[in-house]
Amino acid sequence: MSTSDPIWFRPPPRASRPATAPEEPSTEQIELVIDDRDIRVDETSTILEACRSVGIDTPTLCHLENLTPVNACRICVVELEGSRTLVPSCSRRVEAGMEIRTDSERVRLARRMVLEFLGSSVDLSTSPQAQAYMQRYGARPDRYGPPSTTAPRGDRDAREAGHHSVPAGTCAENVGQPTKVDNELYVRDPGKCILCYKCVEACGEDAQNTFAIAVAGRGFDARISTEANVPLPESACVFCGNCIGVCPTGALMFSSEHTMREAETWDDSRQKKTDTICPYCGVGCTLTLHVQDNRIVKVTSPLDIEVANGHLCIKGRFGFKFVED
Amino acid sequence: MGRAFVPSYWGGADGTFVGPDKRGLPLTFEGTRAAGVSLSSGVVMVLDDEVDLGDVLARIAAFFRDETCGQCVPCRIGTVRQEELLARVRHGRPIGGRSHELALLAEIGQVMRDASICGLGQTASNAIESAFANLDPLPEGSTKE
Repeated sequence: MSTSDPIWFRPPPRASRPATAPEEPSTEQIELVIDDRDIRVDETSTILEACRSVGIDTPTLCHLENLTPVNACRICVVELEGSRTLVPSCSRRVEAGMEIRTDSERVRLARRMVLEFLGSSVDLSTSPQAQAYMQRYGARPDRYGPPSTTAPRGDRDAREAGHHSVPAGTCAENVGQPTKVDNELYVRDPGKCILCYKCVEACGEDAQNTFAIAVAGRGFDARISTEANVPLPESACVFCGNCIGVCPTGALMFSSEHTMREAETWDDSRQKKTDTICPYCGVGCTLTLHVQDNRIVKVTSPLDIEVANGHLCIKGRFGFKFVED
Repeated sequence: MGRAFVPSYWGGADGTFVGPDKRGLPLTFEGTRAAGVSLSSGVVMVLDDEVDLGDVLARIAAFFRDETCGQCVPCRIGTVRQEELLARVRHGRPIGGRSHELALLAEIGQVMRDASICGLGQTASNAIESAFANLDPLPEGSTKE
């Protein structure tokens, strides 16, 4: 090759300095005060992350590390100097100079009342986390009167937004209704649902992008529903089970777990968890096999492993029968 | 024939009930703020002694229960518990006595005011709490069955 070659045949000139990777966007550290302690955190942190970084245990129900915060449950609220209302720590970003109280009388009252509201209207029997919080904050859900009777099947799904029957003051209305079993993999128990939106997010934009479920109705009658309330197999559901993976109360449950709980053979203390890699495709999601009496009873995935961030597909979540055959 | 001017109700469903002592209250931002009354939409409803205040309060509680969107817990369930509490007091079956119920109403109001996402929940207890504070809407023994 000579200099007489056309320019497109000539090699480019040697770089005078080696190429370098673009710089990482720098994040600044900011200072704020939480419970009278001076704290330095990354400016992109939320108040919740700042609290956790110094070991302040802040309760959460609708928050999960792998989902966008919806701040709907309001149990993580903290008192922020200068703010008229309490602020949700799960979604509020830190700002320099914030003064925050996480255990004031106001905060404790709000958390206790949120737990009492949930405890008096939702069956929290399969939510050990919520029960522990209720104990911690001294919640007494029984002080709103005896619970109302469970609604007949289909009744709550048929309610019209903006209408309700006037209460007589004899009982505390709850969201109880019969469980929905319309497929072999999931059991849906709306009476245990606290409307944390996690399943909706996991089904939608935050993981699966399937959008098979959403909140239907309004107010106290709001509930998680498929489109037009069709049974799951007729809906857009692809049975990935990510909604079950994120449900904090057992309102969504594996049929296998539900059956064992009904038969009173489910025993967390006898279960062994073993991490492995999903055998199906090349993505390599981590599976946590929950094994009881030498049988796989449930499959979950750790949130902190970047391959899948806790989400799986139908094969990884449910396709383990061959192990036992 | 004039009737006795009893209470007036300022600012719409999330407003404030005041007693006859506030008769000369000026309808201005400054005037209402100084009296601790919410101006809100600016409406003033004057009630006479023929109106059952219990009915008005029940209607307001039902309104907020119907209007809550249900996104956050304090408002979704608080508006229901508030309406039930009012029904208990109204129908003469308070849990643990009237003063106990009023203390509970204050706590329900506070969590809705402090922890609801939007202004609807934050003001959903204003009218009812102010009615109990400034008037005597459902005196002991005035049970409706």
